[in-house]
Amino acid sequence: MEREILSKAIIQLNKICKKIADRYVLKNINLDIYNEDITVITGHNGAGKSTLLKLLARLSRATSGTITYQDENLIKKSGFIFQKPIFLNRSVRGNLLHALSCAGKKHTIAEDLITKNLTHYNLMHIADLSAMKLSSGEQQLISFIRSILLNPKILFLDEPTSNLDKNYTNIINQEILKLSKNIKIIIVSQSIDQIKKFTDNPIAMEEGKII
Amino acid sequence: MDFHLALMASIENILNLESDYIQIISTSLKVSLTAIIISFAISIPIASILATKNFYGKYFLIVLVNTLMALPPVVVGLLLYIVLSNQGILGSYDLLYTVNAMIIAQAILIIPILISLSQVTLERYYKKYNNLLLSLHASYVKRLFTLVWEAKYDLTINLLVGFGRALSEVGAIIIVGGNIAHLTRTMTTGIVLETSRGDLASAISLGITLIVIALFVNIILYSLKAYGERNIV
Repeated sequence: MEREILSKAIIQLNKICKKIADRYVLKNINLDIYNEDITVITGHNGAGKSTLLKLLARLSRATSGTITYQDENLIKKSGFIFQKPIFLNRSVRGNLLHALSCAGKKHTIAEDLITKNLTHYNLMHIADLSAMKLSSGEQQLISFIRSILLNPKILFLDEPTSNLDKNYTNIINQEILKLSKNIKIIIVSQSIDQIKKFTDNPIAMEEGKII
Repeated sequence: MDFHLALMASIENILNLESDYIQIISTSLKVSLTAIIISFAISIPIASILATKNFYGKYFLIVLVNTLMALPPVVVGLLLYIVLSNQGILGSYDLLYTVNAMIIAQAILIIPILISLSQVTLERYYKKYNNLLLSLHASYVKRLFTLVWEAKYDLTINLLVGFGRALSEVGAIIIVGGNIAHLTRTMTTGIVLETSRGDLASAISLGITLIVIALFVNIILYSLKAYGERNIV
């Protein structure tokens, strides 16, 4: 599916500030995010990248300022991949079923989707293992599958490969590039290789501001 | 009576399974189990909301719940007695000196405990899973159900604490139940009566039974917790 190129920003941030425990971690952020290309947010530790990403994904609220979405459905059909994968105390299958039940998918349809995707990634053998006991690479891959099962229009990724070895990093990077042809990707990354792979114009942050 | 002889006689009482003895155990379990089920059904939704929502008056409610936890049982018994007596607002329901009055009394005592413990438990799970559940666009109700399900083993432990409290209750239930033989006599009120009568053997047999039941319940619930942690859904 060709992604529609829009002249308008799909997400607009206007004077966004975020205060956490008496400290401003985001200061007066003004930013337009467009549909084309992968948006990469980069910066040193503590720059406010993850905080900004969570605000964009509506996992938290700004202290002041506004975030406008061109289409509310965009954010309602979003996915988020955390730096450290979060799983319920269930099997891989159980976690994926839960995610699909949140999206209102019927059990039989969900089971089919899960089988299809796990087979595609050669992960059927871990379907009934505890998700919390997988290796970090397997966890991040399952986390990825969980997000794409929900058919998102926009995917937020918070340093998805920071804890992974080269092999899994390559797999995740390839999947991100494949997905970017059809959906909007916004990724936080500190990896020079990853930034170069995804964009020529990363959004650089420092001390809560865009530089 | 010599303690050693009383102990021997109490064991004989237990092994003979006299009908009075069985009746007392049955009444105790019926009252406590019913009270804990009702308390759990009321406490969990309240605790879930306290753990996951901020609203005006929330902290006042938490302070109130914590204060109610420290309510003396005999005061609860007295207030309930006034309400349920013939001149009380619920006097027409003829609840005084019945097991239902005892269930109400125990529930009033256990509910604040379960709310407080469950709120702390669910807050922990909320902090752990809320971002994930938001990212999956789960509805608020779905999020609550998920948190309660994930916390089921820890909430079961809280249930155990509540059940222990219920089983050991004596002050409130002796006032509203009346400790009537074959009707509202429980293990704890029975111990009070038999000790005051000087029948140590009967008192000790009820005491041993109480401890054994509490131990049995603990074993079952901790086994369930261990089983649950080994076998992932």
